[in-house]
Amino acid sequence: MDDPDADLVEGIASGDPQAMRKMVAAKLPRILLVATRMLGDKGEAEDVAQETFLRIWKHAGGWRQGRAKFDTWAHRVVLNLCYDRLRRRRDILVAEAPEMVDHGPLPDAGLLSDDRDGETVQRALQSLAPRQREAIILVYYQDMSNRDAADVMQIKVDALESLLARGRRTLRVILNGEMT
Amino acid sequence: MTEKKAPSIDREAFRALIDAYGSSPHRWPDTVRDGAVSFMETEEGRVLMTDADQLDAVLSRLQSPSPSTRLTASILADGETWLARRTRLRRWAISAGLIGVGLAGGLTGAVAVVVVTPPPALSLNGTMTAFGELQSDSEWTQEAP
Repeated sequence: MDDPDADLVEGIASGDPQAMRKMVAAKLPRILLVATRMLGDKGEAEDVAQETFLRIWKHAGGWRQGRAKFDTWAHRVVLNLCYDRLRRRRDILVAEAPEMVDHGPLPDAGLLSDDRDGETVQRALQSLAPRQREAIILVYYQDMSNRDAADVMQIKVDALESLLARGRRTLRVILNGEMT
Repeated sequence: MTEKKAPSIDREAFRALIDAYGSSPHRWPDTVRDGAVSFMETEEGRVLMTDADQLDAVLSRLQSPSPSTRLTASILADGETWLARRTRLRRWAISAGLIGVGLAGGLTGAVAVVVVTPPPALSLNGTMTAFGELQSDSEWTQEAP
């Protein structure tokens, strides 16, 4: 398997500070984006990003080329740390429970200025079931291919597509006021 | 020479595609993209794209967070700490006779960890967290297609 991060991982394993800096420059924005979108909290997202890199520093030396892409592994780590946090918050839904999650339009939908539109979208994302949120983050915001996103989520592509479609339908309802 | 035609896609397949992936062709799977682009350019395709376009426009308002200088510095400092610790472990391992000097130069971070601590077993699934191994996602969250 051709892994674009192979050289950097090898450099980190051999203790090259330059490789470490390059890895941070390359991966931190993406890792932070995933954590921020999943958690909706900047402080927690930064903590998760830092914990993710601690694991990268510790495990780069044991990375085995060819089993999976390093980027897939790194995404799995950050997502698992996010789910850790979400469970701590006790707002994880094990199964979709429509009676517990309000998928209606947000009260202020359509009334926000441009400065707050990002907050509306972030709140809408937080309203999604976590697995739908995860799928949309990886495909829409991380621009991952369906195959790479499915690998990260450890599901088949058709399951990913189902999550994406359901997530987008829910977002459309929630953000209805924003789209008119 | 006859031009190769893109595989065709019907209305329902196109609708399912944009329901999942949205209106930007670059997110569409390679296997169907050419056919979908052809359908997109039809009157029917343009109508179907309207809702997907609107949702994508709203979703794109969310700006990507920029890592702060403080966070970047903190992460790099963690890396330096880890490197320094690994070097100390290497020296200790040599002095304790656990490994030969000849191996020290090639000692990787993984071996240093193995010498001193139980192997962290780099998990392909990346399920290690502060609370130990997470159960797999399939065990606690199921989304039936």
